[in-house]
Parts: sequence; C-alpha cells; structure tokens
Amino acid sequence: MSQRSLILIAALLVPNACAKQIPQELRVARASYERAAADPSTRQETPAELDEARRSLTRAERSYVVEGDTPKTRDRAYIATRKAELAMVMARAADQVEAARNAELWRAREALAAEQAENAANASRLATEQELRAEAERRAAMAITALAEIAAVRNEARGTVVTLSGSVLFASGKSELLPSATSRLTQVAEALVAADPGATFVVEGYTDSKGSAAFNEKLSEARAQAVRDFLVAHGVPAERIEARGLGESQPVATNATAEGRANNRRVEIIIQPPR
Amino acid sequence: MRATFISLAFVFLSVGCSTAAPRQALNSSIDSVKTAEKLGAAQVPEAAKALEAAKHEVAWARALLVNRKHERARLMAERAESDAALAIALVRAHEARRAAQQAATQGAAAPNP
Repeated sequence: MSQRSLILIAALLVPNACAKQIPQELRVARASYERAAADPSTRQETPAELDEARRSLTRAERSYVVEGDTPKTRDRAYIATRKAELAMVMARAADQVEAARNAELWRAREALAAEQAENAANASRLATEQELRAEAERRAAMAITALAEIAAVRNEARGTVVTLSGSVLFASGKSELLPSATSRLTQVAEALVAADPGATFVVEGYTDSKGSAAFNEKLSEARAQAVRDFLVAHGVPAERIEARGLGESQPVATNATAEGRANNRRVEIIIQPPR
Repeated sequence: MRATFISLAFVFLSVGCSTAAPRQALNSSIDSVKTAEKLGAAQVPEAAKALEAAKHEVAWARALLVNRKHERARLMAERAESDAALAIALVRAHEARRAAQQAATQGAAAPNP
C-alpha cells in the first residue's frame, strides 16, 4: 500500500473518531468500571471479575477508536457495564455471606460462654452444697455424740435410735412431762435441730405390761405426743417429726421384775437419714 | 495493485470466518437465562429487570441470526449472557443479604444468659 493511501485512510478515520460524540453506553461503562475498581470490597472479593470487566471495557474502547459510535461499540460498552456491575454484586454477596458467617460464629461463641458460665455456676453450687452437707454431717455427728451422754444411743437399720427412760420423763400413769425432763429434752431438741436437714424423726412411746393394753396404748401415744410437742416447741420442724404410741408391745426387758418394767417404760426417738 | 487485491480478498475471507453463526454463544445465553429463572430471578425486583433484558436480547439475537447478521447476533448473545449472569448474581446477593439479616436478628433475639 502506498504512503499516499495510508495518509488518505488516516485522514478519513481520525476526524471521524474525534468529531463524533462519545456514546452514552461507553460513558456509562467507563463510570461503572471506575466505580467497581474504586470499591475495596470488589477489588478484594472479586478480582477476576473486575479484571474481566476491564478487558470488556478495553474491547469497547478499541471498538470506538476503530469504528466510532456504532452498534458494535455500544454493545461492547453495554457488556462492559454489566461485567463491572457483576463484579460489584458478587463482591456484595460475598460480604453478606461473611457477615452471616460472622454472626453465626459470634452467636456460637456467646452460647459457649453462657454454657461455660452455667457450668462454673453449677460447679460452685455443687461445691457449696457439698460443704454444707459436710458441715451438717459434722454437726449431726456432734449432736449424736452429745445425745449419747444423756441417753442410750444405738444404730439400727431404721436409723439412729435414742432411748429415754420413761421414769425420767413422766410420773407413773401420767403423760405430762416432769420438770426434770425439760433439760434433757432440750438437749435432744438441739441435737435434732442440728441433725441433717433431710433427716426425719419418729417419737415412739412404750409402756410396761401393767394395766390394760388399751390404756397402755393410749398412755404411750399421749406420752409420745407430749415429747413431740416439746421438741417442736423447741425448734424441731413439725413436718419432720411424728409421734406414735405402741403400748406394751415390743418390750426390751422382762415385765416380771421392777427393773425390767422400768426399762420397758421408755420413749424412743428414731433419727431416720434422708431417703 | 495485484498485491492489494490479494490482501483485500484475504481480509474478506477472514471476516467471513469470524462471523460464523454464533450458535454456541446463543445456546450458552439461553442456558444462563434458564438458570436465572430457576433460581427465582423473576421474584427479586433488581434481578427481574436483568432477566427481562436477557430474554429480550436472546430474542433479538435469534432474529439477527435469522437475518444472517452473525456479528451483531454474537454481540447480542453476549449481552444476554452478561444480563443473565447479573440476574443470577443479584439473586444470590439477595439471598445472602437475607441470610445475613436473619443471622443478625437471631443473634439479637437470642436469650441473654
């Protein structure tokens, strides 16, 4: 091709490109790409898509330089715009996904912290309970030891049995407590109050075999009740103690001798451990 | 002069090859439109606009193909492809935004230990 021909072609092309106004689609494409390229999130999350948008814009620019404002240039510019938008939308979606994941992580962390706090509280409560229990057991043991000084104490399957002589507590044939019984029963009450908070108590009244069985049963019941009332009045919780009269049943000694009958006239207090 | 004619003939042949019927580009854009529809782009306002544009461009590309305007048909198919891809991305962004909002709401509504 001769030099003259080249000059002629350039003379035709250059004024053509400069004279025409830049198509709207290309302006929009440039602006869209600039926006996407300036967006830190797009640069970070979707670099490949941003690069694709850049290549599309370059194709549109080249088309404009070569052909001017043609449908092809406008199509290429339109595609470049969409590619830039795509990069930004995908970056936004990635941000949202990350936000959701962070919220989920945060929630999981909070739940874990709450669980740990609950576990710590439970452990602390358990330790306190164990301490209280140990203290109660220690006090109960001391109470039983104290009781052993004023009454007969023995351990049976039904619990710890404290036996008080009937003659110390009551006058013959009566169910009112003697003044001399007060001191001893006060010590018993203190021991029961100090016992395990879960323990329950049963006051059982017994007589010897003198008199009718019906009378003896009624008397033993009245005596057991009198002891129970005294103990309740001195701090033993009423709901934890009951009284029953068993009359002349279950003698612990012979009723043929005065000594044996004295042993049979008795009040037993059973300390039942927590179930 | 002869050399110039040969060059021109080569250029025309090249143009003829590059403007073969863009069936693959058109099929690809149709597939993308179907995907966008399947994902529910029509129900997301922003995505619905892009989907409509893509459908319109597919129809336009078909018409251009019938009229043997292959070069423009290929560009139109590319436009349809880019609009469909944007519709799909908008649906996913919408879903991601909803999931993030839901996660934030659940976090706020969670009982304070």
